[in-house]
Amino acid sequence: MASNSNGFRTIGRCALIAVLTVLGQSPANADDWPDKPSLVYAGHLIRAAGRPAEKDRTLVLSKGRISAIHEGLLTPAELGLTGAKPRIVDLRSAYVLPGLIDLHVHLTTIVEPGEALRTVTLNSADLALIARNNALKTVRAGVTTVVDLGTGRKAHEAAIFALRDAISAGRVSGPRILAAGSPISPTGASRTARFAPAVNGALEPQGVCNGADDCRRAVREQVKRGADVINFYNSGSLNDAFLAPQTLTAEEMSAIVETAHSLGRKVVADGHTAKGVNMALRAGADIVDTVPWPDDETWRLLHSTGAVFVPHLQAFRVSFAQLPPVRRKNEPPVFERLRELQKRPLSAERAREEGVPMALGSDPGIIRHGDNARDLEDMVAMGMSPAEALAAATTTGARALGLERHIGALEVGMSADMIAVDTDPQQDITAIRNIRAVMVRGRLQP
Amino acid sequence: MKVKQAMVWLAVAAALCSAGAGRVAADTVLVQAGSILTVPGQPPRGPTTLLIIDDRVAASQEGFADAKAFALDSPPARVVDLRDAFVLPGLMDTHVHLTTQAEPDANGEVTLTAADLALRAMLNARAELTAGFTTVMDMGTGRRAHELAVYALRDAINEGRIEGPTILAAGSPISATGSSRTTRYRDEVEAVLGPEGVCNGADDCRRAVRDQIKRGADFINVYNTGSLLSARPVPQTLTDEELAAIVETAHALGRKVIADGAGTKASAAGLNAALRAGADAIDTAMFPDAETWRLLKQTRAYYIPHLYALEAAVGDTPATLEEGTMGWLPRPLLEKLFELKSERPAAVTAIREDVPLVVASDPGVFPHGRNAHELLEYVKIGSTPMAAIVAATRHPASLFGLADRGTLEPGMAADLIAVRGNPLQDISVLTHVIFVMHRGRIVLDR
Repeated sequence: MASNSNGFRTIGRCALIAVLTVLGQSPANADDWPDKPSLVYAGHLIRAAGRPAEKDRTLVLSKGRISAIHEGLLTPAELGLTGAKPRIVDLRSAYVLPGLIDLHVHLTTIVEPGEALRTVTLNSADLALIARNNALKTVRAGVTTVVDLGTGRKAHEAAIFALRDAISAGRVSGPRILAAGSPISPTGASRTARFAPAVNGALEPQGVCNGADDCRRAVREQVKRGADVINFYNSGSLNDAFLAPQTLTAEEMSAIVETAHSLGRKVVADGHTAKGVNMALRAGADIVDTVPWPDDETWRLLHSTGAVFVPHLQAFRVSFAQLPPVRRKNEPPVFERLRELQKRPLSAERAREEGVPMALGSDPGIIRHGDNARDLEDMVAMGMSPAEALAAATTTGARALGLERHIGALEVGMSADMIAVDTDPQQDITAIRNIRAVMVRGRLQP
Repeated sequence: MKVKQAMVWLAVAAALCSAGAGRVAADTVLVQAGSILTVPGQPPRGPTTLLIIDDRVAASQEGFADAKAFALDSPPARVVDLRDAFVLPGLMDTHVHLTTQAEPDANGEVTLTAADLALRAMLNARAELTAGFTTVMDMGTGRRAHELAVYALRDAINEGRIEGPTILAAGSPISATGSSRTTRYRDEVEAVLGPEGVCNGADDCRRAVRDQIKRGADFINVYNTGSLLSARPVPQTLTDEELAAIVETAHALGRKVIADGAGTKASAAGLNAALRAGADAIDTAMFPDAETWRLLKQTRAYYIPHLYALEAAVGDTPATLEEGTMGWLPRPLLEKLFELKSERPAAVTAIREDVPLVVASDPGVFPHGRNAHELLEYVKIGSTPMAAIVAATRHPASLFGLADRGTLEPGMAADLIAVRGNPLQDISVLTHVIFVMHRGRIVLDR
């Protein structure tokens, strides 16, 4: 077993060198997307969370997709693959499962004090390089698709769009990125740091709208700039001294959701109050995010709309642990709120009891980039089976994004987004702490 | 020389102290070289072992020495076996454009953001590093977004966040109105893109130099003639007073000045004016006159030929002009470039007159990573391989005042590369680098 996994690592490194070689020759066309087929030997294949592992399967990959899955570990000759020698990824000692999907990340943010200062010192070029490093940490943790929810700053937007495009063109490694650009919010609710008026004027938060028509414009503008999904803030933040229950009107929210949907974009509503979340659900949001204090109406609406619930798990703990002493002292409402969230039951536990679909959204930027999958351990700790937690991070996430035919499972025709671990993650979820290999769209990640 | 020696010893002492004082973290590596060109210009030596501590060459011994021979307390982190290889100092390229690449629609200027350019520059920089160039000088393009991208990348590399060569950046070239050598767009577009670094009048040129340095320039690049592609010869674009102000201001702020003469005929006037003003080197100086050679000897400035870019840009016969890396240029320009390529390069005279040369290849015209081809061109026109290597190591170090590189003596930066075969006999082996160490970190090991 050990020798096999070493064998795989060697293949991984060789692949990396091959990539570097290609880069050295022609950066413009650098990618290792195989025109010729690749074979993945999976010792144990978990096609989808909840399905039993199948022993010894050969996956044939072509142009980043799974073109066939065969029983047994078949040689290229046995598969009738004559001609160009296929690349072989040997994972015969590993469990191979679909790559994870995280619906809530902030790749342009570093988890270090000084974010406000960075907002006024770093430009989009700096942020693109920061985001690239965070994207590498993320993909190495087994996350092959992320939704970047943005920060409301133009430089962050430019950085995330640049990185998304570089990754999807195969120039840079990293997870598939779906970017929201900037969140849509009304004046005063953008959740960005406030600076001196002159600086605020220069930095002006993006995505701000007031009135249904203006909010339609704001959504269209985000899409024009490159947004793949729309994120809107429908309440104040739990980090505000006064937690505003609802920041956009029902008409504004409806206009946002309707416009996004007619442009083919899913809508994430990031809400910190039951009132705001419920209004967003009524407006037709596809995903509700964070939601520390849902009420009975929230569960009823989640059931009736089929929207997906994205809880905060580690992020609430980390926010509390990292609340600076000065804020603990000077902002009792924020302190009390975060402290309350440390007590059980978390909204996620309620969601499980209620049986609403739940997906992974770990909020790196608050937690460390690369710690994304630790949320699955929290889910298991509160009573979900490892398979249910994996489903949250794969099939449910894919469905929330309307991408269930492409990602979230390993079936013929789907994207070759997969991860390999040494032991069975459906038995013990901590297996995903040690990722052996990650592949996104058929590309082995460094 | 004495000062330099003292610095070297201080560095050795510091490196040895930090290793010997029982500090766990100091990274020690032994590099066992079959042959080594410790000091380009002096004969190579046989089997030699270098002790690398952190980012410095700490000591050197004859033969293949082990930890004991260096009296190390603990075994080194790694022993690099280059017993079959030829080791030499990392190469330097004094003229690169990390944000540009040879492609027809290269107009990143109007479509790409600083974030896009930062990621592009990251890939190009890595291609140059893995080709053996551990220090590169980015000459800039005159566009703000390019400036931001190069500075962001330089800083990220210096902080160890991104792998790449050490970058010295010019920011934007200093030029007079109308001679910035950027593509000219329609007025509305120019108004928002506005070339950076433009100045008119001595006082304004002082301001322009200060402005570049305020933004982060490590050296100053000045355009003192028209461009290679100008419709008609432009002998000199900045006045003697403006040039003097530029050089004086840059020198007062501790920055070297490279005068990029481009390749127009009748551009000797501009080259000579720059030399009289005190420029530290003249670059792309394709049409010098007798006075240029006299001034070079008198001022001891460096002469920077420009050979491979022209070789690569267009095909080798009038019938195959489009086969070069710039083959997409309009036919008349290709013909002009071909005509220039067909002339006997002025560098032949420079070699004969024993004027000190510095290697500058200009990738951006051709794919990044082919930088070493410039050294091959040197040898083609009569330089010895040793002189070509000196022009890519000790001369650029001396031109830019980089006292810690250019050789592999103890105390110098651990920037080294290895090739198979002897580059002093066959310079072309430098196009197949098998090992690269940058600042003590192994970045390529084939």
